Amino acid sequence: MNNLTLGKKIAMGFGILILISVALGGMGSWQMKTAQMGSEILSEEYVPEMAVSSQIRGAANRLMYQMRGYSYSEQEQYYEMAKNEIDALEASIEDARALSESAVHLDKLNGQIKVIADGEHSYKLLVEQTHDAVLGLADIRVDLDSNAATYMKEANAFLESQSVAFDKDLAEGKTPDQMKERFAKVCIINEIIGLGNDARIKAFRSQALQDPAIMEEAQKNFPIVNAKVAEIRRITHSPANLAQLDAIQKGGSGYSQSMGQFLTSWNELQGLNKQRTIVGSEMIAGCKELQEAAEVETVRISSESSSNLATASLTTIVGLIIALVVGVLLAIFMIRSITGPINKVIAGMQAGSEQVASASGQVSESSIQLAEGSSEQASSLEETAASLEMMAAGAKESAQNSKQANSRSQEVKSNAEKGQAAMTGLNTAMEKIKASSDETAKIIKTIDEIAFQTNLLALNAAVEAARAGDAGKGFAVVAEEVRNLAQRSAEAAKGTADLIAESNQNSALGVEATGDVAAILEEVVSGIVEVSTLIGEVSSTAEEQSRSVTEVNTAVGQMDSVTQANAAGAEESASAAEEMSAQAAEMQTLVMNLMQIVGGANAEGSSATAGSSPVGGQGGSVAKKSKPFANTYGSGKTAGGQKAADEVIPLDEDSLIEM
Amino acid sequence: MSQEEKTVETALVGNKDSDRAGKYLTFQLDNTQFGIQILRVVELLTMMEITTVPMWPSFAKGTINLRGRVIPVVDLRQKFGLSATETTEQTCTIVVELEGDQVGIEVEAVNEVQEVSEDNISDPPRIGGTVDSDFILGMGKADDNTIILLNLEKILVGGDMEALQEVVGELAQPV
Repeated sequence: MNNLTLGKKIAMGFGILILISVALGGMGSWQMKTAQMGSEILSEEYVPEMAVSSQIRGAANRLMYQMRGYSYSEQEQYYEMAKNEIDALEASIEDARALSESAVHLDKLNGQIKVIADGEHSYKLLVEQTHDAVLGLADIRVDLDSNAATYMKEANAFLESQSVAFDKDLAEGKTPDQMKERFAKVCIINEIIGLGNDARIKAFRSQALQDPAIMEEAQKNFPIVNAKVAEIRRITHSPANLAQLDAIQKGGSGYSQSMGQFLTSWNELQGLNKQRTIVGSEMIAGCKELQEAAEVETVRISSESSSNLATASLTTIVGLIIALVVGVLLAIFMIRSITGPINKVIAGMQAGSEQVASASGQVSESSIQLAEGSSEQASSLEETAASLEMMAAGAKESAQNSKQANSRSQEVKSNAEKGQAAMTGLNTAMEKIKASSDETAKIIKTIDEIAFQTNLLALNAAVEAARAGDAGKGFAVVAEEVRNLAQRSAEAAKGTADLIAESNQNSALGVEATGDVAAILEEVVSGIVEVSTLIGEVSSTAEEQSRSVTEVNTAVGQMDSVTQANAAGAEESASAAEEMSAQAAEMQTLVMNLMQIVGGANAEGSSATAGSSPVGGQGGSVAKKSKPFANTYGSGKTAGGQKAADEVIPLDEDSLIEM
Repeated sequence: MSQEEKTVETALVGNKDSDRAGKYLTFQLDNTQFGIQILRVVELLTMMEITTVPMWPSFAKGTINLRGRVIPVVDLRQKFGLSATETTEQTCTIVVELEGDQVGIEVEAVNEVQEVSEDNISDPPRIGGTVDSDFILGMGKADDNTIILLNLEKILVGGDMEALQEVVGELAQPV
């Protein structure tokens, strides 16, 4: 990171931000687009589908309602309204068909429309059939009424005639049997009238309650009527009355027949009603299915859209937070990476200029000291030269002395070598002594052996002498003497042997001592050789020394002249140091300007004091000497403050990248 | 048997306890001086080559050939139960004659022939009943020394020595 140029750092920061915004925008717009597409499908397809299917459902419901009303009330106005509803239903189905043709996603609609249209078609047919059935029922009802009217009229007429005849019979004073007969007739006809009335009441009740069973029960009255009519016919004699009875019977059977017809038609109508209900329910179920499908799709799409929108908003929020954090971090990083190095440069430059100022002061001081020192040096150098000459003389003398010592040591060396040779001679002589004493020892041993043998011989002789008894006495004395001699010579030999052993030991000691002396002499010789070489070295060193002293002498002369030159140079460097301090002051002003640029107006106050103090001591010289610096810089506009600073630090892009 | 030898024989027979005085050849074993009657001595010899004889007891060193005569040599040190020493230039063999047989006695050194009078001879000291001092004739005194005077018959006659002499006789026969 630190190796990147400033330009690259800035470009990288903005690049990251741009990338984040592009990613955010892209993601947000993609999710919005998805949500929009879902809503469009919703508004253009599923919502209309729902609307159409609810229209169809409403129309179908209303149609069924009207038809049910029609079938119960049999009023034409319901039928007319049902027809209107059929038209509305057809119009709605047409709408749905158009929608299914235009829509892309409504797969179910097409199939359902067909089902609904088929339903509608069959329903329409059922409506017509119902209409016909209702009309037929009305006709049958007319027949029913007319037959009932005939029945009742004839029965009442018979009752009237009987009541008239009863009055006449009373007046005529007929027999009680006749009167009884008349009374039976009246009673029976009254029953017939009652049965008719009961049948009529049941017929009305059945219609009113929509219960065919009551009407079927009413039909059972007519066989009773026929039986009653047959009973009354036996006691009836008047032809007019017999005709009336026929009429009653005819009316009753007609009435019963009409009732049967009515019941048949009625049952038909009930079947139609059921069929209608089934077909209508199928239609409504189809609509319901459509609605449910549309509802499900709507819910799905809307939940998808809402989740998409939620994701989009979440993404946007998260992205914004990331962008904010990244932006803040990048801003901090960039500000640091720009101001940090510049501040460092400023601090470095400031410290550098301060150091230069103080260093130039020190330089001028020390060059003055140098000048003084070099004049002192010159005087001491002259003294040095004088003592060096004395040293040269001394060195020569010591060289001569060492030469003499060398020749002396050579003499000593030859003497020591002679001593060494003499020691070798001595050594051989000692060895010879030792050898001859060894020889002597051998001889002595032989003598000792001889003495032993002699002793033994003497003893043998003594033994012989003893054996000889008295004759050997003189011989024994001789033997004793011989033995004494032998013993003495043995003792002498032993003493000599001791002496020789001692001398042998002494000569060995002598040989040893000679060896020691020879070794010491050898050491002496080697020591002398060493001394001689050392003296030779000393002599050559002394000569070298005297030559070196001469060289040193000439060098001192050269040093003298150099010291003179140094004194002059020191003065020159003092003036140069003053110039340097002036330039340092100039540099500090420039640094201050740079600090203003980087740190704003606040930095000015602190840096101004820091910048001015180290140069303050030499302010006069700085002011005087500032011009040459300006000339070397080449602009000549240093007095311009901010303007000058801009020139010093051009803040265009190229230079920033270079930084 | 010469005349001379016969006189020696008689001298030996008459040599009883009362007749201990006379000349003795003294020799040395472990700084102790021993003496043997000079009439028993045949000859003094420097060390000669000894032929060792197998199966002999350890004190019998072997035989030497003395001018064609084979005689057994006894190491008196071993016979006396002293530790053996190296033979030196001083080592000698004393040839003695006992009951007609010659026997060599090896000693450390021969000293001299000394006359010991009866006055200077005392009986061997008696230490206890068990200690055998029969082989000592007496303790001779000469100058400042004491000489143990040996009874060679007690030492070298009977037992082992008989057997040795027999063997030596068998060895000498073919010669």
